[in-house]
Amino acid sequence: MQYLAIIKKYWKEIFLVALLVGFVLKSKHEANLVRLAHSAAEAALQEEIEMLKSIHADEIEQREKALKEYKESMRVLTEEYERALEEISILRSEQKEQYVEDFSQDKDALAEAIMIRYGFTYVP
Amino acid sequence: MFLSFLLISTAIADDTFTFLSEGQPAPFEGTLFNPSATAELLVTAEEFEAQCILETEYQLDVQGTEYKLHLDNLTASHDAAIASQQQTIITQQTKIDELQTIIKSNSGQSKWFWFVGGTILGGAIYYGIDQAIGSAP
Repeated sequence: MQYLAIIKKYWKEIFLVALLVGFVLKSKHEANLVRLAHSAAEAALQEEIEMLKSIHADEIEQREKALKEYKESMRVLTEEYERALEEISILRSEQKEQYVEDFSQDKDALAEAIMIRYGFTYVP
Repeated sequence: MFLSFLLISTAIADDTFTFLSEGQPAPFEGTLFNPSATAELLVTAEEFEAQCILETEYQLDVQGTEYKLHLDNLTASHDAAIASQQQTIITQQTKIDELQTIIKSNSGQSKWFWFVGGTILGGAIYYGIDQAIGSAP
């Protein structure tokens, strides 16, 4: 009976407090939902960052591999080029000796070489 | 010893040449080269031709290699762009799914239940308080 008397006297205040408590609890629930949404977004973005880092690392690796292949190809090409230049130089010396020899041994071959090279007419 | 006689003729129409022995009279005027100089003229032209072919092939190979590097780099960028794009799509989809799960867990799906329940509960509380106040001495 004593409680009823108190409720009767302060029922408006009690109702107001109950409503406030309800409002606070609901607000907390909403805040928790926002926090959950934020956590979900943060986790997703964190995962995206990690994946982008991995993708970037893969790209760098691919580029480094391509650069390595390029350097190796250039090295081989340059080596072959220099070797070919040396071969041309050697062939030049040998060919020159051959032409000098042809003067005494095979004039026809020499004449043909001059005709083919320069288009001159041979007068025997 | 034989001497070669290479002639760039000015008197006759054709460019001609012949071979002469030492002391032999020249059939036409011209420039006389010894065998070594004649050989030098021939091999120099051949050498230039060979070097030209070699240089052309080398430069083409270098250009091809550079283009390959460029292509490889572009391929790497392209692959990375596709992968990051796909990853962004996956991330956004995951985010959407999670947010939808959160929204579904909220009162949105059963809002009528909450509305009706709240109205009934509120009415009951009000009625209870009213009854309590009315029955109190």
